[in-house]
Amino acid sequence: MKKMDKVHLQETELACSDGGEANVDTAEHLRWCARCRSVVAEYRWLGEQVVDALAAAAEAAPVPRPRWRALERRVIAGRRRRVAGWRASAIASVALAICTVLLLSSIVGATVAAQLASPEAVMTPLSATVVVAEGSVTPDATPTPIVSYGESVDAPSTPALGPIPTPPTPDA
Amino acid sequence: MTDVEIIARAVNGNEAAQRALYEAHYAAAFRLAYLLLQDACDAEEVAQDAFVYVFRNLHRYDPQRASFWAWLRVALVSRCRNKRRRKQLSTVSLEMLTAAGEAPADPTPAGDPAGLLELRGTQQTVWEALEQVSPGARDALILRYYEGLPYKEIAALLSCSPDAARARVAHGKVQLRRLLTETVEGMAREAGIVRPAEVGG
Repeated sequence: MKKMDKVHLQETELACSDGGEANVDTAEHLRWCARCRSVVAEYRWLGEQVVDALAAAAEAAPVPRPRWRALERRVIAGRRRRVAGWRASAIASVALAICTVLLLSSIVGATVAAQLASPEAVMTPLSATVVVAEGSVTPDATPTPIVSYGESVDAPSTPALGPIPTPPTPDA
Repeated sequence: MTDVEIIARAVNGNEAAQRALYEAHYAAAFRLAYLLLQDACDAEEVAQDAFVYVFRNLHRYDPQRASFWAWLRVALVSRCRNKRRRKQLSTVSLEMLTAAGEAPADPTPAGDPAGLLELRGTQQTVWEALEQVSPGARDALILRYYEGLPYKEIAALLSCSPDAARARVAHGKVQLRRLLTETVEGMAREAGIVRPAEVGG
């Protein structure tokens, strides 16, 4: 505030202070600064002139006749447009819903039909062949089968693997 | 019938009540629009637009919150600002520029600048100066000095803070003072009067 005491207040601050709206610091400055006080007085006078000028201009304004019918037409037209808009959006929503249902039903129907038309799935075990290499077996030993899957067509339906042979004793 | 009763009937679709409401507020709406836009055709169009909006949305109006005029004023000021934005009105009208070159019809023989202003018509001079104030500040000045609104309401109408509304009013007044000072000085020069000191700092 000391700084403010030495210089004059800004114009905008003074312009705001004409209606008794000055803050404490501004009011204090105005108490002793005649120049700023005179500027505030000018703004007060200007405010009064603005009030008078605006009132006079408003009074002198060439007010046309109210056009109620035109207004009514626009309001009604607006309501109709809004109703038409709602109707159109409702119809569009229903149409969209119907299309969605039809689309979904056709997709689901096609899937079901495809499933009904296809043959029953059968799970068959793969055949296996046991090949025993000659000469590699001791007389007492049970041959170790070499197992290969999926090669023999006329393989027996019995389990492909036999019992695991007992290894020959070192004495034999 | 009070405004509230008329509005209640108007909301229920009573055409006579709607018409009464329209006719009761039309002149005020036009005048405010005229002050803000400074053009009778634009003011008429904007006032009508504001009424169309208000009547279409009459069911939304809450008398507990604001008067009908305050509600209408919001629609009106908003449309005036949009209208001006669309038209991109120049802050200095051509009329003013051409008028500025003309000498007063009868320069005063007296040496008093205030007397010069009186002779020309203070209200007219202030109005012409208002036309040259920047649009934002002018709107704030009109709402403050014509409608007599507090800064809070001006802020709501101009979509700014109350401090900004206060600043706009202040800037408007500073501009106005400068313009009027120039006008008085110009008139004094034309009348061959030398002013002893400037009106403003």
